[in-house]
Amino acid sequence: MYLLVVVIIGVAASRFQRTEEDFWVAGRRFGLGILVIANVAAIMHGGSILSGIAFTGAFGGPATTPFLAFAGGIAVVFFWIAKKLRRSGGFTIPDYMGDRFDSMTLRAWSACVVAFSSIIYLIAQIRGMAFILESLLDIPFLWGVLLGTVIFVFYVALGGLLAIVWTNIAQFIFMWVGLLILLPPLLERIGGWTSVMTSVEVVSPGWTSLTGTGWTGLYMISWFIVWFVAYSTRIEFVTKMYAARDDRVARQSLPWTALLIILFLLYGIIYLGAAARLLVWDQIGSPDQAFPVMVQMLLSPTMAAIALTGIASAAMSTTDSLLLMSGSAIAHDLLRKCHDEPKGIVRDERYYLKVSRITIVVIGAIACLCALPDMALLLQIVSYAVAIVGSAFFFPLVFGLNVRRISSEAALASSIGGVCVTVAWIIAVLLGQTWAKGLHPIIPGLITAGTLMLVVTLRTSPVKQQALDKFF
Amino acid sequence: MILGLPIDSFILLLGLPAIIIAVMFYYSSKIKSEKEDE
Repeated sequence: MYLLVVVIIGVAASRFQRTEEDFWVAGRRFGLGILVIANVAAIMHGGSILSGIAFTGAFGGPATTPFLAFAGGIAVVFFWIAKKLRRSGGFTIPDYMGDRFDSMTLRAWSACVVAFSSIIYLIAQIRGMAFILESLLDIPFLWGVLLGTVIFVFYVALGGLLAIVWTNIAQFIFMWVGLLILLPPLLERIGGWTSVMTSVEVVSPGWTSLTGTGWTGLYMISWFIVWFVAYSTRIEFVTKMYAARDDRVARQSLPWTALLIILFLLYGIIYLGAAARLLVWDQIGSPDQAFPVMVQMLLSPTMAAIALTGIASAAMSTTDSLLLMSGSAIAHDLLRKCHDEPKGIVRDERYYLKVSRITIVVIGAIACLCALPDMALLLQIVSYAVAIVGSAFFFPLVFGLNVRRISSEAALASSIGGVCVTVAWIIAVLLGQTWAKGLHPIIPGLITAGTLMLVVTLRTSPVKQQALDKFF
Repeated sequence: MILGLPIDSFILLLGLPAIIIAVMFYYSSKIKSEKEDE
């Protein structure tokens, strides 16, 4: 029934798509309530529940859920990014990079980074969704991947951001209902928050401490930095600012977004992670099974299906945003802005709408094929995609929007240097190099990006005033 | 211990994020009144 609902929404939303502005930023019509839901749904991915419960269950609650980093990252968007980004009137992050730094190279580079990292992220999300569909519908993993991909590609390709937001509202309700129906049986078995935290500390010493059951202080700090940068640069979240009715709505949505995410994760990850540690930890082969096993233990088959549908909703709500991001990077940024417009090629809006839809189908198919082979924990894949995006855009966004002096050469050097070092570090980790494993790839990436931005800015001239007028 | 958590965990998990969110809400309400002033 849930899958049918999202398909119907996609068909209905397709009737409102006439221009690129309708498709990519839903005609910039979002009010406060809708934008808050869209923000939360874009951030709360399938991995945040499924892998989140596995992660907190294994390593401890406060250590693995850096709420301080989440709130701090969203505060950066609130104070330094949202207002100017919305006022600039673009569609995508590559639009910002191209306009602010008056550089076609930077626009094309940014589009490639967005497309590449979104596809990596998308692969993780499709796998998360397939795991859920596998247990929910009792079908093989392969069919879970295919079914999930076909459905969200269908509604995103037809309805664009409007379909995403309408489905996000449905997904938001499913997500909360799915998790909250676990609460009564859990309260009966293990008690409320304080009782669960006290019990889990007895069973697993260190679970409630800042460094968890086995992390070092240094690893915890780098984990906080990863998520701080992630929350201030997540493209599927920051891009939503463009869809706000005005810059005031864009900014006002942010404290509500931070509050809802923290409330959601306090229960959805920390309380449920502790419950999983107490109730099912001895019965599972891998931490990723914690949530499905707990659901089956506590609920009747019908109620368990509702709970798992809630998690599938969380997976789908990020996946659709990512698909739209990667589609916009290719159809809008690369084809229209970097190829057609500089060459004076004029095409009508229907042509770009058609290309956007075809691009989304092709990217969905590529991500679907890449999601089939077995791979590491979802959150690890997600954190690599986040690291690439963070090292590419953190400094150009935060400093580019607030310091006039930042030159296009500095932004380009910072973005390319940051991504190259991050990717090299990820490869070293994947190859099993012990020197690389102690530090998350985003840390050397950010240090390189920040240093290059500073050094190159001091040696080059600022962007010309005409380009800056839009932002200052 | 507060809510079953050690003090430092409580501050980092809930205390500081709550302060940051409260500051955002405060400035968010100011954006509204600036608009109304206009």
